[in-house]
Amino acid sequence: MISVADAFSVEEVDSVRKIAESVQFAWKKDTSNNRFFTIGVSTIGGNDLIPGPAAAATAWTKYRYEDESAYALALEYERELNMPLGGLVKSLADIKLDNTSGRFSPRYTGGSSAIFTAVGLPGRPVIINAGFNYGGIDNVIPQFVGLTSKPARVDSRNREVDISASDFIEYIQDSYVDKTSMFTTEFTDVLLQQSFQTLGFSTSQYDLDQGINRVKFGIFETGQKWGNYVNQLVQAENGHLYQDEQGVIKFENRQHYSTFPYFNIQRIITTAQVINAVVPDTDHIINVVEVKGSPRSVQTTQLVWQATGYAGSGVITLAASTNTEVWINFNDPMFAITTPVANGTSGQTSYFKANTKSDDTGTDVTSSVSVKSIDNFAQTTKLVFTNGTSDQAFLTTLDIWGRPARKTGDVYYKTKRDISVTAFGERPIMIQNDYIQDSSWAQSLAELVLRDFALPENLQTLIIRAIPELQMGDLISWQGHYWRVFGIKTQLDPGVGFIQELKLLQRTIVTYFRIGISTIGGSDQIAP
Amino acid sequence: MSYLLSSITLRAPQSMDESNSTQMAQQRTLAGSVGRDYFGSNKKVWVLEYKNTKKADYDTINTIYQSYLTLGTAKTWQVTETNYTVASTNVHIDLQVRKFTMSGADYISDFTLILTEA
Repeated sequence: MISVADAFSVEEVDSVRKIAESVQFAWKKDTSNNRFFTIGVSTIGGNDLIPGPAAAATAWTKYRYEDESAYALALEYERELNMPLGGLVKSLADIKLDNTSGRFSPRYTGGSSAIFTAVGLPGRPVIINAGFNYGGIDNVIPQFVGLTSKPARVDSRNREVDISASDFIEYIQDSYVDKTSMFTTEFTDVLLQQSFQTLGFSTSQYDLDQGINRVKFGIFETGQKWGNYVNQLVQAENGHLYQDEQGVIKFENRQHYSTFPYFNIQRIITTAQVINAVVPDTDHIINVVEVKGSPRSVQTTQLVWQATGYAGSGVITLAASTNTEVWINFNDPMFAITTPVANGTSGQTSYFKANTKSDDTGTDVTSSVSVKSIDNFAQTTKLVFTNGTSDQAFLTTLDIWGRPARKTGDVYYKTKRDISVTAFGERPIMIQNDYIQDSSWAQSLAELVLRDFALPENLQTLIIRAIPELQMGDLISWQGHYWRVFGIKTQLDPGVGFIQELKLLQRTIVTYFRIGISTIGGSDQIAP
Repeated sequence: MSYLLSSITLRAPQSMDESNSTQMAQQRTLAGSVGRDYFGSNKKVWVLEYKNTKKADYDTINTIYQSYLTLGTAKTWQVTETNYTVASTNVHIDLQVRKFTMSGADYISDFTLILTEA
């Protein structure tokens, strides 16, 4: 929950609330002359910016924003965790602005705005803050930071403009890996950090829990989307990765909500705050869970390929006095390949032998052949041999040694909740994730899913008069039960007011066993 | 002591309504209580009724109205009567139906001028 002043909390439950909102766009993505306030350097009353409440001096706040709050007609934004699997999720926002003056119209449609060229471009930074006016002052807190996702939709008849935005998770989802990389025995948070740094994020832009899952081997391949890899890594943890209200990307592991302050009730919701409570239908029920994974791990250096299998011919022909490319495909990703040497020793390293005859009965010309270059890809190696003789030569032996990342045995677990199957029929879900490393975690994951989703009473949707400081994972009390917030959809609209739709998952507060604090035989549980 | 629209003195209307314009949504909660969310500040609306108005007086107002439409910029509105004052305020202008009585060559008319605080 975002920290707010007591007066703010008082105002939000008042029967008469004066809503305050702020919408700012960096239409031109101008960062010139912007810097954060620094004691001893900046001057009070100067132009330097004060970072947000959490001192999140992120790159997003360095832009020069134009305050368009006076034109805001309606705002809507939502953020929802992917339950029960976890993973990568993005937030969305829709902004409706008054365009009577033509401020947001392109000039070719009669607009008068100096910013029209920027309005027409996607990827413009946008910040939404919301709160209440009390004591004659607008008191707003961060709600959404993102980028416009497509050109503005200008409605000339109604003199309105609609702008859609999504947070920076979309950038991760849509970015491609431009250089293949492999890793071995790394925790999820380390891999996420490396990914984000590759994508250009600075450390102030993300906040990562320590990973619980340690992946023995993985590969990020060129041409694939980063979003898929990040999503798989986070889902293997049963964790969540999302961007919070201030633009900070959060990775939360599966134990995150069992730690302080998430096992404390953040807010008691009374019926005087609730406009409607909706019990969802049974579509969300999951009562059969199957978890599959095929983890790999890097093996010791070993023989991974021999020339006898090459193109079915058994030998490789090297044309006279020139270079010849040899491509080798492997069955598994190769963490390392040793470069072949001439006349190496069998059983130790990559080596080759060359002869003037393909059956090895001619003259040994190994010393006249060399490896000009080697390029290793994930499951392929390109070798370029130089034949220094004036005659055709044959590679009669080519042994390639390396460290393959082999499958170490499939992870598999399947379970079901009979009482739910009897009532609702089979509602299966398959979780396929090669970053799941062992069957014991697969079993825990399956049981966690069934615990929350096998029966209908664990989910509920509340529509409330907005409490803008609520955040993902906050624990609230409603009708004597504890509920975890996993989705918030907010509307600021003169037609409906300032309201929120909360997606809730019923929780029983559990504390996990901590060495030095918990007692054997006590109530603390062993963490999943 | 006068009615000033865009700093130009208007003829005093025969009658005038002043009203408040708020943006408000009302919610009924499960407990039965009614909550209200107000958006933005209260805005005033002035409805000035003109009867039997000479062409010159109508033209004065219409010129300001046409300027408002052409430039797309709100105009200032100020009242400095002894017992009714309005501080200089930016307003939108609506000049609606002009009704003629057709009883002579002067084309005396009735019309309504609506000023909405911007």
